[in-house]
Amino acid sequence: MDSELQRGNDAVYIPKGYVFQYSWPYSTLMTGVQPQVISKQITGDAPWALRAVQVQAGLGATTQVQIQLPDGRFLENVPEDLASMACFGSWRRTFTREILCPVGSKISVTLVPWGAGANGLSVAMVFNGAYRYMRNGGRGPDDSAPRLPRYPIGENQNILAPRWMSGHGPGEPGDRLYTYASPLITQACSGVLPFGTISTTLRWGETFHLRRLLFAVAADALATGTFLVRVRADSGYALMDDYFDVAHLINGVPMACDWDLEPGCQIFFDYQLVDVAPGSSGNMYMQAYMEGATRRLKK
Amino acid sequence: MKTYRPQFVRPMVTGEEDFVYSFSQFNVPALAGNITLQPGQTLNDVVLQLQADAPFILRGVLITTYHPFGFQLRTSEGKLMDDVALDLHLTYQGSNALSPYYSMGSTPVVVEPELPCQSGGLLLLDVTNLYTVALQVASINILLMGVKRFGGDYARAR
Repeated sequence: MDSELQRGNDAVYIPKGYVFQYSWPYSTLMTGVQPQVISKQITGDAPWALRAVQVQAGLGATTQVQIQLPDGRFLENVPEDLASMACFGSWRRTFTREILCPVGSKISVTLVPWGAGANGLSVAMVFNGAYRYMRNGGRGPDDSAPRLPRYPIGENQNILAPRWMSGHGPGEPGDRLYTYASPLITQACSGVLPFGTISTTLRWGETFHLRRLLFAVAADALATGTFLVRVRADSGYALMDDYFDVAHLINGVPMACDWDLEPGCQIFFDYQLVDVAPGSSGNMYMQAYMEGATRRLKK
Repeated sequence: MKTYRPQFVRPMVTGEEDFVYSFSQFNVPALAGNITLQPGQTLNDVVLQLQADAPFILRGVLITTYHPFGFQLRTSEGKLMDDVALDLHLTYQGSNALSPYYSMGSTPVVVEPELPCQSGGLLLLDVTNLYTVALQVASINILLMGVKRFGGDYARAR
């Protein structure tokens, strides 16, 4: 942590990425090709904090890479294998702490091809970070994260599960786990492809806080097809903007936040049966389950 | 309550800088292209030499190879980090690997607690051929990820 932040200042960060790209023609024999050094200068009106690197290259890319940071240090002792150094998205390589790069400093990337084949290669890298604008009078850095235990002990050892699955709110004392079941949809796979609506009415005297939807789909021996579903409430609120394959896409997935439903609310499941193969016969079946918590109304 | 914290979150230590050691056929003679291991044969004490400018704090290991080798690491104090030479997927194959023996862009296997390695020290690697035919060791790539912990004037200047 650099001294400016340690003095108790705050910073405003604005994301910015720098892209590095290079291509060797497909017909290039990579053996004996000279290393390429690509440099990029940090521009802008504020220091830029480097936080991660993303790489896109072909599987089995026979190239190595070495990164020189703005302070002159190399990130690696020697060029490292490009294919194993980083990927993109959640698998990008992150730095332990951000590296502050002054305006005008440079990042250099050395690409060293070594493969014996006659394959060309394209490499794209993004250095992710953010411009840092300082402002006075803040709280300084929040260093509470390192003090947290790596694996908190609880009933639920899935560290990515929503916190209510470990019994920690959002919620109130007296909440009860409850699951509503919809009527069963029975749909023939022949004739005009069907659509329809089923509904479930919630109980009066308590609110319901829906936390996940589960869909059970079954088929007769010669029946095929996919149910597309749209879920909505009688308030007019719809959970999705269009029909989709809920059984595959959101089946059992914990919601990011509770769907709060009023007492006596009616939940509708609009459905269509699609992708029925020619020659199908018999019925397809689907039933929806709504898992959540009931909460009694306060008197 | 937070139920999750990401790995690698550490108290800030002045003078720590990210660093990655890469070892392969290009800088480790013992992993050169003409070296072949027979089935069951072990290549002992492959030296992974660390640089002498600062102690290295090892926080992650990632090994990639096309072949079914077993690996066993030893620290610079001589302590074994693995009980026996185990297959890669049981030891140092990163998550998100696209195939059992190839780890495109995968995340490293976390070493927790971190392993401090002295400046200019070394780690030793044993490689065992777990397959039924002879294999070349040239496909092995080893990445040691962590930080260098600089002291003295360097740390004071940060």
